[in-house]
Amino acid sequence: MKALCWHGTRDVRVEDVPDPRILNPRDAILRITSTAICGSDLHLYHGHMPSMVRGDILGHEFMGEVVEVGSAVTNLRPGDRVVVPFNIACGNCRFCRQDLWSLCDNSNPNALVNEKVVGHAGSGLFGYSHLHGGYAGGQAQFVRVPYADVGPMKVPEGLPDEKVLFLTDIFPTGYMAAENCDLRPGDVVAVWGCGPVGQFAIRSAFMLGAAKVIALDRFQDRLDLARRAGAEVLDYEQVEPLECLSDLTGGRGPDACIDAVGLEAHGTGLLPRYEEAKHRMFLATDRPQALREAILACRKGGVVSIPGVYGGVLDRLPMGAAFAKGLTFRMGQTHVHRYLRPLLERIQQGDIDPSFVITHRDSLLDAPEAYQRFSLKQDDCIKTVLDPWAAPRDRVPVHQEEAPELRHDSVQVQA
Amino acid sequence: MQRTQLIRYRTFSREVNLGKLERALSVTLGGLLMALGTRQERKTALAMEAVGGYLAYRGATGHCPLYAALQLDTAETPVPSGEVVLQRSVTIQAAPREIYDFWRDLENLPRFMEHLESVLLIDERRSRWVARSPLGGTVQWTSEILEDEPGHLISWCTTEESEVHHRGSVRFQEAPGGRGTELRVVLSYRVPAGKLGTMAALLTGEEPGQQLRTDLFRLKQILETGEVATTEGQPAGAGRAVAAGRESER
Repeated sequence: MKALCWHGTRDVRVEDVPDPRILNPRDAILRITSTAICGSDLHLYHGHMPSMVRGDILGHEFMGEVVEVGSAVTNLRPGDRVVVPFNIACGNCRFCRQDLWSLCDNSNPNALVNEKVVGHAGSGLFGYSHLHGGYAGGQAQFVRVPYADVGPMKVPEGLPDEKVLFLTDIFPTGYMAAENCDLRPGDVVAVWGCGPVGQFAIRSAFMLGAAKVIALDRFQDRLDLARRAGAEVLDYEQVEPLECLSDLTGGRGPDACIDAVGLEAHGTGLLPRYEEAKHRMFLATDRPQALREAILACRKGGVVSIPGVYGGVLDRLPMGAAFAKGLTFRMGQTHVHRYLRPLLERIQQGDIDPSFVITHRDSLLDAPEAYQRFSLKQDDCIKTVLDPWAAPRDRVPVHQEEAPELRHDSVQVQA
Repeated sequence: MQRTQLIRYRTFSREVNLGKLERALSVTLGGLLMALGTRQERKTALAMEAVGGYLAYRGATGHCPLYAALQLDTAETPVPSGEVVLQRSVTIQAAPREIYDFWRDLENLPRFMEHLESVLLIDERRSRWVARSPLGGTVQWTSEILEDEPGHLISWCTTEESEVHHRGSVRFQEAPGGRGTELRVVLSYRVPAGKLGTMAALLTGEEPGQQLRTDLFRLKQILETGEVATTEGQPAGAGRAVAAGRESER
């Protein structure tokens, strides 16, 4: 089969590799019909995630059709169409039973190595380095899904791939980030980062009752997309974010701040540029500019909700400010399994059409170019979906404005 | 949830904390600096003598105060004679009696103890164990159950005539708040002087504690999920890129 393999920093290649096969009784094999490139894939692409090995297959946002099941899988049959959470979870350990799926005790075969870094290892992930299990990912034509009796969810007839694909990661991620804000009527939420996760966080915040959502970014197309959801937008290259946030909240500060940026934050000013330089030279593991601002901006007693991925250690984080203001921090990998059915319902009810975030559609064979475009944010790229079975450049990459079927799609979630 | 204790055999104060090669290099470099220093003018000479002297001192004694302050240690861990004790705890979502029953059926042990090939019962108390040696071949010993309290404790030791000697125990205790069962395993190896290197290698491979951690992780997975998570046998790229435009063969 064809699969996208990591070969080093900014070097991914489509290769012919053997098809996956059943390794354990609870496995299933999927023929993948749609797969996406995630912002966190860029951390792998940029070389910031340790424990990658040449030839590793990437991809953790995928869905498809069951073609084979292991002897212990009775809930799925060949032909079933499913979406699969990006985290791999056993369903039986204490954490899975408590709905904390991304903290599964058992699904990371390299847990004992991982725990040397973090103390106690979380779940395995598809296509996300050997520290997280080294599982072959889903930017490929086929994939093996462990614990298939627990993870995959069947998709009802009549919903095209694009409407449900993002249940695998970014929609639940944005939603959990907003849910973690403990929103009360009248609350104002500020979201750093208008990439796909930020876009879902904005819409989820409104769904969960936020009175106002303020979104920060520097790319016009992303700010526009945020504005279309009803958010007030701040271009932090044009204005001073902390001042504006204070102004927009009557001097109180946002009640909750969502950091949907993570470890490769960009910022203006001396400190962020210094951090970026250090990071590019691999002298630092993370750049916390967005998190720093979120802490400083947040109102006293507020919540800082962090879906953005961090990997190592942070410099110059204003812990003193966080303490003085009595902030609550909520963070972590998304417990996708928890949100699959509730969010599918939202989609079915028409509350949201997740395909709004797609700007580019490519063949898997063009994935290397797609990664580069996404990394450099060229061509107003926000989210790319790959078809593992399309011939290369078989379709012209589609812009949101151009595609007729998308004009009426973006369901505006009203404040 | 899981704790590990490895006995440390050295403290940092005044103990040897440099490896043999580093010591040799240090003495050589130090000596060189001191010798060359004599040919320099006063200030440079002083600096070179000082640094050279320091390097020679740390090489000769094997103790570097700077390393000690930074808690660095490049010395090879000495192979002690006496006992090596390993301990590890793990919590498993199952009742104490259920886990006890699984473990007490000794022929189950190779399912989660990776290095074991087989365990065969001789009688009520004794069993014959065959382990894979990392050096190739196998190691065998006879083990005898010492204490056996269903649902609480199993302890065992090798019998006199075995080629290796170790003892161990596993305690089962209900974890608080319905969290399952806490297992506490203690293993100790008695090692005759001079033979430890071979012994440890025969029994456990690289780091003794690592095998214990791995085995308990496997046990937890088997009891909680019915299988052991693996990626062995999965596809990966091998460096062959697909030529653009070539159709998929499927």
